[in-house]
Amino acid sequence: MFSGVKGGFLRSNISMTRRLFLMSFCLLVAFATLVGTVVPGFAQDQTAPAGQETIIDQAQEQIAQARKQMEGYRDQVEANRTDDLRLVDIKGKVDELGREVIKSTVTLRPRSDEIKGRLAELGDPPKDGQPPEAQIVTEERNRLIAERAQINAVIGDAENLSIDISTFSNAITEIRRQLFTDTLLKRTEVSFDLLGSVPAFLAHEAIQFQDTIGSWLAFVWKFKRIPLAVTIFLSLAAALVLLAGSYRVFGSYTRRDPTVTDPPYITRLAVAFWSTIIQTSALIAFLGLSYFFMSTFNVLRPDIVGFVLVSFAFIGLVYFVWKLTHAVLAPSEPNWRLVRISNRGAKFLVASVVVMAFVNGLDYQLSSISVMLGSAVELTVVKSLVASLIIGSILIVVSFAKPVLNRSGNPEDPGRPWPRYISIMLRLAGAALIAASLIGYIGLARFAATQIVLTGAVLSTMYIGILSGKAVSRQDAFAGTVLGRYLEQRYKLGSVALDQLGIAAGLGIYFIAFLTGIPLILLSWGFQPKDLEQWAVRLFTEITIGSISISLVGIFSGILIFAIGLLATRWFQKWLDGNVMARSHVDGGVRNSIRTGIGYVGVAIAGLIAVSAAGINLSSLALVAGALSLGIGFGLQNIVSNFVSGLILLVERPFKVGDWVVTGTTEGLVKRISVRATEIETFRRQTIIVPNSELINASVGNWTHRNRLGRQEIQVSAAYESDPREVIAILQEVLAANSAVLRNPEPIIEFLRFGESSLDFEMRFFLADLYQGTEVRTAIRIDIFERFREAGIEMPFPQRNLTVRFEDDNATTSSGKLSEALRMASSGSKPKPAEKLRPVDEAGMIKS
Amino acid sequence: MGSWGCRIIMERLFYAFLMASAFATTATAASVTNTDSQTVVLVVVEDGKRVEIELQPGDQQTICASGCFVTLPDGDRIGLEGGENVEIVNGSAVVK
Repeated sequence: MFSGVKGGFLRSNISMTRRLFLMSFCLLVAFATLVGTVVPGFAQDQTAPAGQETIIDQAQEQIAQARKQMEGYRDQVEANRTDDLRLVDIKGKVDELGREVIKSTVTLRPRSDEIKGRLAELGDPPKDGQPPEAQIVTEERNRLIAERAQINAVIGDAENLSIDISTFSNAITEIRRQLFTDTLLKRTEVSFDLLGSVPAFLAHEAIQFQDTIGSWLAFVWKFKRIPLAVTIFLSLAAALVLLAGSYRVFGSYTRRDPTVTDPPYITRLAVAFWSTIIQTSALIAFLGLSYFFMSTFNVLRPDIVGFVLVSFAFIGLVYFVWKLTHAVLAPSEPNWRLVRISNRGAKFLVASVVVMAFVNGLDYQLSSISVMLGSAVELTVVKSLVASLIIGSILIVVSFAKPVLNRSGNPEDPGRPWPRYISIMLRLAGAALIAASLIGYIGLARFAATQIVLTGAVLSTMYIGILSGKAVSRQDAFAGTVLGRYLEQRYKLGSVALDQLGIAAGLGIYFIAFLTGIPLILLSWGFQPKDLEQWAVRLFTEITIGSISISLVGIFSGILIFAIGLLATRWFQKWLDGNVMARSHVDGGVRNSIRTGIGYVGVAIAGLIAVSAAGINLSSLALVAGALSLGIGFGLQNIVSNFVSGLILLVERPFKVGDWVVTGTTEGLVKRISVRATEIETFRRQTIIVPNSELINASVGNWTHRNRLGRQEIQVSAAYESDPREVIAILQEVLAANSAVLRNPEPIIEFLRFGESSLDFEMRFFLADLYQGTEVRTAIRIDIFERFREAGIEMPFPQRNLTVRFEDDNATTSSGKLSEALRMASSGSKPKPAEKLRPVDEAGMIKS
Repeated sequence: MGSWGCRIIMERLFYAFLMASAFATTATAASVTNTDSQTVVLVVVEDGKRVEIELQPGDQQTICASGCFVTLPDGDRIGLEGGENVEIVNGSAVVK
C-alpha cells in the first residue's frame, strides 16, 4: 500500500527496475546456497601464500566497494525521499548488500582455519627456561599470527559495515513509514476556491489528453501499424487458445445448467470458481501479453506507458470483480446462488459492488492521466474527493438495502434487512469515508476505499474457498465431485475412504484459502513481503513458548520421515518376502517371523529418526525414559513380559502361523503372532487371543510343529460269528488301497477286545497331512462297510440276552401277569394302568 | 485499481507463492554448540545490533536468522550466512 498511495498520487513509476529486482531476488535465493558452498571450496584450493594474500585483499576490496556502494545508496535515498517505489527498490538492494558483505567474509574462513591448524601444530612459543626453537618456526608463527590478525581486522571491518548497513536499512524503513503517514494524513483544504479552479484545469487536461492520445495514435498509425496489429493478433490468439483449452478441460463446470432445479452446493461452488478463474485469467493473459508485445515492439511511447498499464489493470480488475460478484450472487439464477440473498438484493449488490470497483479504479485511472500530463495537483485531489464521496455514499445506500433472503425461502419475495452489525459497519465505513474526504484527508479516504474494494474481494474469495472446503468435507459430498468419482473408478475406493479423502480435501482447501488470502490481505495493507516471509519462516521454524521452542517444520518433517520410513519398511518387507524368501522356498513360519521382525525394527528406526528430525533431543528423552522405567517395571510388567514373550516366540518359533496348537484351554489354528498376544482360531471359528507370556510359560501342544504327520484311529466292530483273521485281512487291504495312508510308519490293526456284543478292532495309521484326516477316515469307513457287506461280515447291534427269574410264592401271579401282558400287547388292547409293564433294566430285573 | 493494481497484485501473488515454497527451503538459522567444559561468551552482531550470548558447557543455541558476525573467545571473528553448525572447541570455532 505504500507504493499504492504513492504510485497513484505522486508519480507513476513504471520502470522495470522493481521487476528486475524481483527476478534478481529469486535468482539470489536460488543460488545463495550454491554460491555459499562453491566459494569456500574454491578458496581452499589456493594454498600458495600469494593466493592467500589475494583472498584477504579481495575481501578487503569487496568490503571497501560495498561501503562505497552503500554511500551511493545513501545519496539515492536523499534524492528520492518522496518516491516510495524507489525507496523499496533501494532498501532491497541495501539488504542484499548486507548479505553480500557477510558472504565476502565467508571466503576467508578456510584460510583462517588453516592458520589456526598450523599454529596449533607449531605450538606455543618456548617459555623462559625452555630451549629456543628454530628461527624459521618463530618466523612462520609470527607471520601466521599477523595474517590472522589481518583477517580478524577485515572481518571486523565487515562487521562494522554490516552494522552501518542495517542501521541504514532501518532508516529507509523509517523514511517510508513517515512518507506513508504523511501521504495518508496529508490534509488538503477542501474549499470553494479549490473546487472553482477545477473546471478550468479539467478543460485544459481534457485538451491535453486528447492531444497526447491523438499524437500517440497518429504515431502508432504512421510507424507502428504492423507491430500493433501483430500485438493484437498474438495476444488475442494466446487468450483464445487459453480460453478454448480451459473450456475443453473445464467447460462442463463453467456453465450453469438452467434445467437443474436444485444443484448441490459443491457444484454451485465449482461453477462459480471455474467460471471466474477461466474467464478472468484469459482476459489477464490477453492484457498482459498485449502489454508485453507492445513494449517489446516499442508501440508504447514512454509518456503513454503509465496510462496504458493503468488502463489494463483497471479493465482487468473491474472485470474480475464483476465476474466474482456474478459468480457468488448469480443475480438471474437464484438456484445457483452461493449466499442466501433475495433476487432483488443480488441484483442490487452486484451493481453496487461493480460500481464501487469501477469508481475506485477510475480514480486511479484518472490520476494516472494527471500524472502523465503533469496536471495540477488540485485536479487529482478533486477527482479522488469525488471518488471517495461516491464510494462512501454507495456504502451507506447498501447498508439500508434489504437483500437477505426472506424467511419464506423464496428468492422472489422481498428480502429482509442486513444483520445489525453489518449494516452498522457499512454505515460507519461510508460515513468515515465521506467525512475524511470532506475534512481534507483525501489520501486516507482513498486508501480506505481501495482497501474496502480490494480486501473485500480477497475476503469474499477466501470465504468461497472456506465454504467449498466445508462443503467438500461434508459426509458423502466428496464422492459426488468429479475428482471423487474419478478416484472411485480409478482406484476402486470405498465410500469410507472417499469420505476420509473428502475431509482431507476440505482441510487442504481451508489451508490454501488461508495461505493465499491472509498474505494477500497483509500485503495490501502495506506489509512488506520480506517481513511476511520472515514471520512465516519464524512461525514455521521456531515458536518459542518460555524456554521451549517448537518448530512446526520440524514436527511436520518428523511425521513425514516417519511415514516415509513406514512405507519403506513395508516395501522392504514385501520385497524380501515376495522375492527373496518365496523364491528361496523359505518356510512360511520363518518368513512370517522375519517379516514381523523387520516390521518392528523398521518402525523403531523410523520412529527414532522422526523424533530426532522433529528436533526432540533423544538424550532428554532418555532421561524421561529412565524416570519412567521404574513405573514401567511395576505398572506395565505384564505388557512388557508379553512383549518380550512375543519376541521370543518370533525367534524361537515353537509354533508358526497356520499351526494346529493345543494350549491349556484352547485348540485351534494360529492365525497371527503379534507382539502382545497370539490369535488362535478354533475349529468353530472363534478367535481366541492368548497373551504371549502364557504361550511361553505354559506347555503348548503343536500338532504340526515339524511336519503335518499325524496318527489317525478308527474303531471297527465285527460280530462274534466272523473270523477275526479275515476281518484283519480286509482291514489291511482297505488301508493298503487308500493312497493317503502312509506305508511307513506302517499301519497297525489291533484286536482290541472281546466286546459285549462284538469283536472290537482298532486301525491305527499315519497320514502325511493331518488336515486330510476327516476325508480319509470317512473314505476308509465307507470302504470297510462295503467290504464287510461283500464278505458277509456282520457289524452287530448291541445284543441283550434277557433272563427272567421268578420267585416261588409269586410265581404264578407274576407269570400270569406277564403272559397276560404279552397276550394283550400282541392283541393290541391296552392293559390296565396298574398292570402296566414296568421297565426292565439291562440285568433283566424289573425296576420298582 | 491504479498503476499499482495489476503489477502489485501479480507481484504479491508471486510473493505468496514464493512464501509457500519458502517453507520448504528456508531454515537458515545457524546453531552454535559449546563443547568446552567452561562457559563461553560470544559477541553476535545481527541486524545491526551487538548482543552477547552466554553458552553453558554443552549448550546449543540458534542464532542468525539472516546472517551475522560472531566474535569468539579466542578473539577470532567469523561471518555466518545462516545454516551453519558451529561448534566451539577450545574457545575457537569449528564451522560445519
